[in-house]
Amino acid sequence: MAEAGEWLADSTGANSPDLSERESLRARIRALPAWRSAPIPPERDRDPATDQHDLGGVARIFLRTWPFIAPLVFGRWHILRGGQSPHASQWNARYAPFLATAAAAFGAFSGWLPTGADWQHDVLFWGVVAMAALSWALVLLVGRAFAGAAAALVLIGVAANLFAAMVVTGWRDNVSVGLVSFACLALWICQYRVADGRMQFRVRLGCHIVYYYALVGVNTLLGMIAGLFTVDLLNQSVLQAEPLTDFLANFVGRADLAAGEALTVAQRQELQWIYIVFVVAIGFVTFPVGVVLPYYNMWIMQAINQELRLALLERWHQLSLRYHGDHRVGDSVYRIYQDSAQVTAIIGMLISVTTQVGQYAMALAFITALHPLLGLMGATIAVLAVLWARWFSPRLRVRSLVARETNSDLTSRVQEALGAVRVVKANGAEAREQRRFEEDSVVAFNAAHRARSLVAVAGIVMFTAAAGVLLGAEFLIAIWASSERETFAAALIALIGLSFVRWNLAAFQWTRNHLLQASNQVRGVIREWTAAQDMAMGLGRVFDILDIEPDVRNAPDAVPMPPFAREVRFDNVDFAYVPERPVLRDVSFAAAAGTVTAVVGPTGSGKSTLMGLLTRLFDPDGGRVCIDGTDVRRLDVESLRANVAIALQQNVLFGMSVRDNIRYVVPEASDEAVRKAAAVACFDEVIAELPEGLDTVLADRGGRLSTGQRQRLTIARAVAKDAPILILDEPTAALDAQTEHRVLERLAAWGEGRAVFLITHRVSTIRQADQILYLEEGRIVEQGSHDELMANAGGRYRRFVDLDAQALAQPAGGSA
Amino acid sequence: MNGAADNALAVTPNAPGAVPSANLTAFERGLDATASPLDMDTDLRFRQALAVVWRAVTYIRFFPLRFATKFFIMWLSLLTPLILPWPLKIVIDNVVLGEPLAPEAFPSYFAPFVRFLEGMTAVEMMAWVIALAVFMVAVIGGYGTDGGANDQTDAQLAEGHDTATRTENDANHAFSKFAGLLGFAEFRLQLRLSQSVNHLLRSQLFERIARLPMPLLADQRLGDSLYRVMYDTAAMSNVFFQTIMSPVLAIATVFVILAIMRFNYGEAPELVWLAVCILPLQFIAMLPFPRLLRRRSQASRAAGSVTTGNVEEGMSNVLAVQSLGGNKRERERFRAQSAESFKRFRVETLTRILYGVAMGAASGLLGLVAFYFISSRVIEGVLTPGDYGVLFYYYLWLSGALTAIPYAWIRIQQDVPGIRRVFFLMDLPSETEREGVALGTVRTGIELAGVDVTYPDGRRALQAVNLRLNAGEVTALVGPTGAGKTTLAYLIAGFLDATAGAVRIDGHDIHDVSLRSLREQVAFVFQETQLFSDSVADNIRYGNPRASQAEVERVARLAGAHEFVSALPGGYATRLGTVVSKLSAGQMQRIAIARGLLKPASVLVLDEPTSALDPETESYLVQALREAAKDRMVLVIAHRLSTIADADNIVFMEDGQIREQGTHAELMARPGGSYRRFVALALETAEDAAS
Repeated sequence: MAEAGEWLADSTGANSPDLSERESLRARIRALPAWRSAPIPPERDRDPATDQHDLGGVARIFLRTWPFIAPLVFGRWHILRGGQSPHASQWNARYAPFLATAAAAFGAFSGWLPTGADWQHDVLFWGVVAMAALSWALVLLVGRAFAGAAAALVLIGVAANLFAAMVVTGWRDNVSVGLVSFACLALWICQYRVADGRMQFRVRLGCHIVYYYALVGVNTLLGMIAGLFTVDLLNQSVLQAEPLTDFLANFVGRADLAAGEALTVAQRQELQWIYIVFVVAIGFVTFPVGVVLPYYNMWIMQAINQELRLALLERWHQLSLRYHGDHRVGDSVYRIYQDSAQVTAIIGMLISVTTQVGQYAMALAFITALHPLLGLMGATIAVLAVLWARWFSPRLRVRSLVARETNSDLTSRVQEALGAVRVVKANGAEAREQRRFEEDSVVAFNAAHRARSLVAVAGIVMFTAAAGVLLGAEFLIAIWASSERETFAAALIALIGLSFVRWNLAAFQWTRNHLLQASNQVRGVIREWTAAQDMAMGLGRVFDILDIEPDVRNAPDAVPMPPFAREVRFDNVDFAYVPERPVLRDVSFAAAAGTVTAVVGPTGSGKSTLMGLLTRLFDPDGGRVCIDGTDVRRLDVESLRANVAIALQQNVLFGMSVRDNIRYVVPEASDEAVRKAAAVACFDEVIAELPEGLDTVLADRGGRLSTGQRQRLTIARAVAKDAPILILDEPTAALDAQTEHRVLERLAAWGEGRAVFLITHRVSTIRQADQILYLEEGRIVEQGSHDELMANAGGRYRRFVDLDAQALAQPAGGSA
Repeated sequence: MNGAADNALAVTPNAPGAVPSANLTAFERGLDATASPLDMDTDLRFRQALAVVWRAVTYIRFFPLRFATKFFIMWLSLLTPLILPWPLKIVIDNVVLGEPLAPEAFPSYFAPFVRFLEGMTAVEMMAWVIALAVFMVAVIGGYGTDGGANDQTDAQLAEGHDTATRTENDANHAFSKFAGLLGFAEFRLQLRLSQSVNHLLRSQLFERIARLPMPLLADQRLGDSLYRVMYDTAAMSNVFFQTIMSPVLAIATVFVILAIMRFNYGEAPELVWLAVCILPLQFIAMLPFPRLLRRRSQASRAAGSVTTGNVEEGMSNVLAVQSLGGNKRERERFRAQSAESFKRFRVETLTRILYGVAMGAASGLLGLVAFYFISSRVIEGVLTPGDYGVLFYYYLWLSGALTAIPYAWIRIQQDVPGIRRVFFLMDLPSETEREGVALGTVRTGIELAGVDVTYPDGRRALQAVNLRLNAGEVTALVGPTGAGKTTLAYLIAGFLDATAGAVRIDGHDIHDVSLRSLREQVAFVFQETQLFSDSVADNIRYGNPRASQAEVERVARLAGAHEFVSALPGGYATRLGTVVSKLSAGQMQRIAIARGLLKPASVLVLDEPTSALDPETESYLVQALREAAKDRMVLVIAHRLSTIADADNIVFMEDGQIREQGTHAELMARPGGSYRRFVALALETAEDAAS
């Protein structure tokens, strides 16, 4: 496609394009085909045959979101008076059935809801009786029977209210049904108990989803009624001069407008103004509601989404480092944003599908009454839909999953490339990273194109199939109508008062409309279904994470860690990240409170892992780690980690103020405590030089500080935690000797009474330890004080120290 | 771990937006500052918004043919109301009611088909009409005007209530008024067009971010960059299509409606004028909204970028979070930020809803005027009640089409801030703009003459530094933390520019040397190790992708990495993670050193390469450096005496100045010298230890 004209210019307009820039622009423009699909690299693609989900699988995924939705359906209990009490009875609402029964009886006896008047009132009456009876059942039953009764009550309640509003005329029946409904609702909303001889009440608050849909229901109902009135007012009276109905006339306070055969011109002109006032008044109601309802809905959906996001994040932080070794950061971002957001569409989808299926069934029943063949044709649309869905659903699921995976990969690519941008620059690898990014971007778009094309095809094919059936039906009924054949259930139709005993124009149009409606419902369901496949794949990716059991978890009988008093002890500890490569083997040692233990050994000998076991970043495969004689696996993880402060090898800083960085784990720490900690780490002098002192906000990765300064900050952070066990993992590697000296001196003074672990290669640091563990290939090969170990002439530690001293002494000696 | 820049860089020299707009509220300013300290002048006035939109629209020039095709098909969709109603008319009038065919009752373009049907039986006529309908279904996906009798094509998928989660639908925006073959074609065309323009934009943005100068990068949060590349770019689709298509389409629609009205009803000029009145009314009602919406959308995006930053930061540092016991802290931080970004989106949407209400009120009021006008004619007996419905329907149609013009402007206000955020980063000065002499192998060396580096916040990192680094020599930079050692090293690699003085390489001023060739000649090993989620071999090869396996292994041996790499389950092919490496810090450092050694560069800079190494490994490394120095210039920053002592030239720095330089022996010979003191301190402890 010769799209890029000769006058291609640099897109930014900032500088004149050279040849390569032009080339890359042209390449980017043409990176995606103009119309076609493009293949996904096979290693990133999936085969539709591997799809494990069917209708049940998708439904199961949706069901799993219930715990996140339920709190906004059931709300929470708010106790009105008094708090917890040990001598309290069970909460109950035994008063409610009495109320419901009384309300039902009131309707019957007052004549507001009479029996035997007409069939509509009879139906309603028996509905109300059923509600009252079910309210008794709810108080008495438990378990499944309770759930069944509750569901029945909800269904009958909704049906009765709709029936009262839409079918039965007059307003008294509405009030009667409403009273009974409220009595039944009270069962759910307000309960009491007796505590210490006093009545206590609790009410249910925060059932936002219920409130929202109740509001929507009321709004729809009012809208329909208002719509009927205005249409009546406009069409019949203003335009056609018919008198108002009594109700309307009373409503607008002009009884005279209901009298007589026809309205006069003056009356009609007056009605024009009444109409205008009426419409404006409706506007004053509907506009605020139109603001509140969507806002409320959004708030609810965001609240659900927020909980799911939090669950994801929390799980990731619970998972041990064994998991994170293969995990990409961009994937977390993608799952937290795109995948979890799918939860917000579930409720709307379910409601839409339910109503459409209901409407479809009704339309189908009506059509069948006119002719079973037509009913069959209407049913055919659904059959075609099911067959079609069986074909496209697994394909769509797989394509959607691939689209999600490739987009997540792209997010990771951006994160990784920009995170390593220094290395990229230093190696002049910008062009290479750019190419990798663009490749990922193209694959992501190709995958999205494939998924969305199928969504579009799903709709188009469904419409075409439905249109085929509809046109066939239209052919039949047009011919029947032109020959005025008798309809099928003529007798039945005549009974309910329709005029379609014979096929005529009205019957043609009525049937055609209902068939169109039926096909619309099926198409609507298919539309929801296609979106649901994508939602299920997104949510599936969320639950994939939530399903990973953290390998480090609180034991069921975990206890909070008691104050640290005596010692940390490792007993025959074994550990491996992957079974074939043991990292620690049979490690045993003890470190008493008030001592400093240095862990020494070659790189990769397992020093950091050893400390990870102490904080339960992972659990040992064999042996045990004890604090004051208690296995750490029996301690509550959070309380354990609260008692251990650690300064890591990697100087991790967060994008917040220096103050917040220092008190990262103890956010409530005072400025004084923060400054004290900073002083121990010799970081106070750095703070003094910062433009805004403690308030200086650090860039993402601490960009404003040098490594040595960052290292001191991480030490300050560990000190600020004020924990009885302190681990310093190569704390001073980036410090110059002088600063190191000062930091260690101050740390020694501060660390009195604590158990301190030092991982380091610096002999000067190691010397200050009470105990030295020399680690090699995961084993403690030597253990003791500096002097003891130095005494061992052929010892590893001695060689280690000698090597260090040699390197120093050689040139130094030469100069002396 | 993923260190972005580990020296005292930062504070945005020449950052265009460092000054926040005066019009923003304190809250908005705070949000902007947290999201990106570079970009704080976020408020757009009308002209600026227009400029952003215009720049987005100019992207059409890259896709002229496809855009024109899409445009053309959209025009076609205007014509369907001219065809769709007529088949049903034949069915009702001539089949069901059996009236004789009257071609003159149909528009001229449809009459030939009617004439063709003349003289047929009802069944035959019906058969032909159905055949025509089937054809229309197949081609344009519609055979009538009722809702169920025509279809349109889109593939919007479920989305959340947050700016970021809506971007996938935006980036893949596609819509057709048709279904059937034409609809499918138009849909795919637009889908690819949206994707292409998004791909182009995000590729450009990514490129520019990767080429931002280091000081700017040090201040830019990674989460914010990620947000801009992944989410803000998606705002393009809307602006790209809406700005041109909506107004044009609206005007065209108006003409089509007028034509249909005229054919079906005759002229009703009063109504047309009334409908046109909607424009000024809508514009007045709209006035406060565009800027408000832009600010709300900016706030929503800024809050989203902060949240992204939090997730990114927390997950990148998961080791730190867990071992510090920061899980709860991270959760609370994320909870607050995520809630804030949800809230910002809610506020943005609320503004949009309120706008809708204002517009609805304006059109509603005008609708009442139309009602009064038409119904009065009915009451006067000039029009029939049936006319009312028809005329009012046309009025609504017409005023609705006209409303689309102001709506098109409002509709893109939520996207304009996103695009501005993209263009903003794209417009920051980029490193690669510096072209010049291609630097070959450095033969003589590098010279710094009177070099000063001062940061915009006034801190002086280097002062009057004069230094010569000779090819074939190892130079060691020594000094306390914060002395300016890394800054000096950054100067050589062109990561930073001197504020005064000159840096000369082989006699060329560094500014005359093309940056690409400079970077090719400098291998830089950073203080904090950064690996990629690739295989070990690819990580080592990063600076020299064409290196053979044998060469990789050779440098790995030199850096003392071969042994443990071979012991990995997959050997050199083992893929490394980025979040938590399967390697210890020392092992990662050795791979980074191997990477530096493998790069065929004539200058090797190592910034504290030995900090995480044990003495044995370190001695390996010192040997490796000697080896490397044979044919290149080596600059090493270190605190460990054993690494430095052997250097040909030792430079002792303090407070941004060079205090002393010379060989170890020379410097040790100076009584009271800084270096001597430095060594004494180190030796004292070491000798104590050895005794």
